[in-house]
Amino acid sequence: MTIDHCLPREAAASADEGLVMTEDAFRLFYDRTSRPLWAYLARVCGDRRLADDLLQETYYRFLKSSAAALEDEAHRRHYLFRIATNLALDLRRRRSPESASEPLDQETALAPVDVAGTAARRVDLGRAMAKLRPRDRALVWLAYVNGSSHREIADTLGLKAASIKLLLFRARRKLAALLEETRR
Amino acid sequence: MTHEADDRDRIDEMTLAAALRDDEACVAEMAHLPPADLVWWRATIRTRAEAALTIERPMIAVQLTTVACLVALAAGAIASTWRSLPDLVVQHALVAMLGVVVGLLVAPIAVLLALTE
Repeated sequence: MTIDHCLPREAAASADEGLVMTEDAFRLFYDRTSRPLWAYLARVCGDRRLADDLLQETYYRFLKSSAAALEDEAHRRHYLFRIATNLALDLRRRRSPESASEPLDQETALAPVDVAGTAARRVDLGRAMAKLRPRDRALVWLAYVNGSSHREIADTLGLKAASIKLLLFRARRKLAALLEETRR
Repeated sequence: MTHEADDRDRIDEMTLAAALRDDEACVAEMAHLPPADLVWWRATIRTRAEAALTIERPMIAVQLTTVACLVALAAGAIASTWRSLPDLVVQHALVAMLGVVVGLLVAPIAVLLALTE
């Protein structure tokens, strides 16, 4: 028996209306955004399994929102990262403060990939990022990896646009200091 | 901030940005992503389940309210006839007995039908 048969006709109809994007459009959007989104979630959470879970939840919430109907790919992408950020930061807030600066699960904690040559630098960066506060991780990632504008970062993190420059400067300084510390 | 410090900061910023982008490429390679079809399918299932719940919730509320009203009515009726109840039972013993028997016979059938439905 299919799911359609288990539900009242109205429910099945509204379910189709509930997702505002077509399957084909979603597939294309997913192919373009899932990998960078996963990398972002993995770095902000510091845990692969959490990144897996949050990825699914992020796309679900995105599909349910009106943002999925937006024509502009950049806006859709920005909204997707906003949902992901809220989910990741909410999750960290619910955890105890002691675990906030530590990997959530030692066994599944994200270990930077060991590739010859630049491996050491990546390991250092991974460790330094893990020591940053989740909001600062999101801040530097959105600014330097995604290339988001200050206004977009402020919108994503629920901060004032005017304060982003200073916060970013501090986060960058903190990361630089942590990098120095890990290299020593 | 002096020009020298400003320049140094800009270089730091560029170095950091390059390192982070490099890190992103590296981390992204580690991802074991579910296929788009699976993510879409899960989202569809959840949406439908939520839609069904949205429809069922008011129906359950109406049913509960109806049951509560019936119980209240029955309690009121019993309370109002409480004093004259023994006389009524004696006067209409046969009818009361018949009602109890019919109730006992019909109730299991009603439950069975409701569960089958």
